[in-house]
Amino acid sequence: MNTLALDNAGIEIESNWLIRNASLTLSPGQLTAFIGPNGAGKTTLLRLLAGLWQPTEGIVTLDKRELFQFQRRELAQNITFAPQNTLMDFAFTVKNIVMMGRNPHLGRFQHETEYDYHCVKAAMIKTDVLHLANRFVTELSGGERQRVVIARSLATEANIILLDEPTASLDVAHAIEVFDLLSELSKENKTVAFSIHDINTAVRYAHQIVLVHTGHIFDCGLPEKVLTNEAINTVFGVHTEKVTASTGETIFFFSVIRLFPK
Amino acid sequence: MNSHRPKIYFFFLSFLLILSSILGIAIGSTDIPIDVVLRVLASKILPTSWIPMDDVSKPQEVIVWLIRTPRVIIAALVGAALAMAGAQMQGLFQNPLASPGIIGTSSGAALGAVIGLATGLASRSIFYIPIFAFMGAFLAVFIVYVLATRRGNTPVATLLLAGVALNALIGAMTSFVITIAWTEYEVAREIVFWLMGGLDSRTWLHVWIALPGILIGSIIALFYTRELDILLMGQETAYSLGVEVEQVKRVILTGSALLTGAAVAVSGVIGFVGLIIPHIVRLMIGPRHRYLIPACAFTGATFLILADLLARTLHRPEEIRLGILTALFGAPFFLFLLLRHRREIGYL
Repeated sequence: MNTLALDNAGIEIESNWLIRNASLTLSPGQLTAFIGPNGAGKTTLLRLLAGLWQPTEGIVTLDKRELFQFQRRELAQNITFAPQNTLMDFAFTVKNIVMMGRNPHLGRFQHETEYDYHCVKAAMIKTDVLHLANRFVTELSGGERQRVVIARSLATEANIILLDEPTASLDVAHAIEVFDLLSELSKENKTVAFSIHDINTAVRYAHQIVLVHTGHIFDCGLPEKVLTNEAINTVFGVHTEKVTASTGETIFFFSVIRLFPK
Repeated sequence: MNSHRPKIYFFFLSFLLILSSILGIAIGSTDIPIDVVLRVLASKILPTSWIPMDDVSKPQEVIVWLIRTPRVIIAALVGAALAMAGAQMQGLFQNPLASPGIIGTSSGAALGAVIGLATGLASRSIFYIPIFAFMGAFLAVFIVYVLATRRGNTPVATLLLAGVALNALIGAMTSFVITIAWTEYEVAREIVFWLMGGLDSRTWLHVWIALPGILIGSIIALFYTRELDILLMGQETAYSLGVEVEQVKRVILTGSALLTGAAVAVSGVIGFVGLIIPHIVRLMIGPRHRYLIPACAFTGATFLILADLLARTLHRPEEIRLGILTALFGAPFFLFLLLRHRREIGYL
């Protein structure tokens, strides 16, 4: 199971609707990308899905059960969310950080068991950070840190993994590494969703695209259906041309001609 | 690479604590030989017949057991409590400036105690001061928390600003109470001296006054270490790792108010310990609170025992106020650390 769904959800903060009438479903084995201009509501949608914010109207459900019926710990065992600006200012070692992912499974008076160490190690192997285990996170590069954050998410053993702009600070090669990892996780039947600015990466990796525009879900579905020149024009106000690369992959070529000059 | 070796540090820290305690008892206006100190202490714990006490005079025994031992124990308790409370707050607010002093817990406790002194209740029973200090600390924490919390969230910046404002307000109120009480010279003198912080004429009674709050506060501190680590990753991450952020914050704030209130009640306002000790310890042992909190307790205790020893002996037979001394010696050291480790600590 592990299906996460928004049903007509909306959230109002200080008489401002950040998101309204949002309905979508994240299913196991599916890689979903949230695309939209800055401030459109991508992060808000992820926060609603992660159970960080309670919807003002509509509901958010995990396997048909409302998120706010779950204990925080129980939720954390099922859904893991990596915010965009993960703080990494303190000299924790990589293995300390990844072990934090075991918190949802540990009682207050409980120490880490062999199994917790096993999970941490497995997560570090999968994200290729095991060789960094004893390094301080403050010494790592951006790409390495992002992999550590994903390792911590994996250590929770949650089946739903949400990431807010996981590649915002990464170069192309590191970004591809992260997305290869995410698509591998979706093949293992995990439910994975992330927000991203790079439309071309999204179209290449995602199974489902959620196009977000001024607090509403503009469209949602298969990449080739949602991402059309017209849709991108409407949402981003830029002219694009859909071309096919020699590898057969779809690419959106961005024209510098603005349709809606500021 | 990982250079944090907790076990070695704890061995070293306990050794230092024991050594400084013995020195603290042995050295003073009259120095007492260390073997006498050890024998007097042993005679109080073991059956008297086991320890040869023939050459120990009655005054020596009184100085060791009734004057210096409680004083050293109080120094240790207060130092440990302030350092742990500081470490908790710096972790909770992810801010190097956060400490009982900054968010107003210490001054709240001080105001409570000053009111106790000024109203004359303190002269009726010695237990009024700690009770007033507890209430002041709790009230200060509660007010800052209510001021700074919106929709179940306590933004770090807002909380610090609220703390600064509250500190100013409490400072003014304290000065006002002192102004009123000034007509009674003795009371005013007591208040001012007490605001500077010190451990003179502390007895076993003061140990029992401070112990319950500090004991409960320490237990809370030790059981909430994993949450503090995770809170350093930011609130959203903490939520998504299953931490009930608001509830944890309330518990930790209450615990640190207990620690601060109990400490201020028996020692007055001793600044600086809660700010500097956690920083020094973090440099030695790393940011993990599972080790940081107990290491802060050991280091804070040792630091304050030694500081009090200096306060008693630097300018014999007069005593220098302990609060003056901790700031005088600690501040330059803190600046030195700040400059030297600016890059490594990251958030300084």
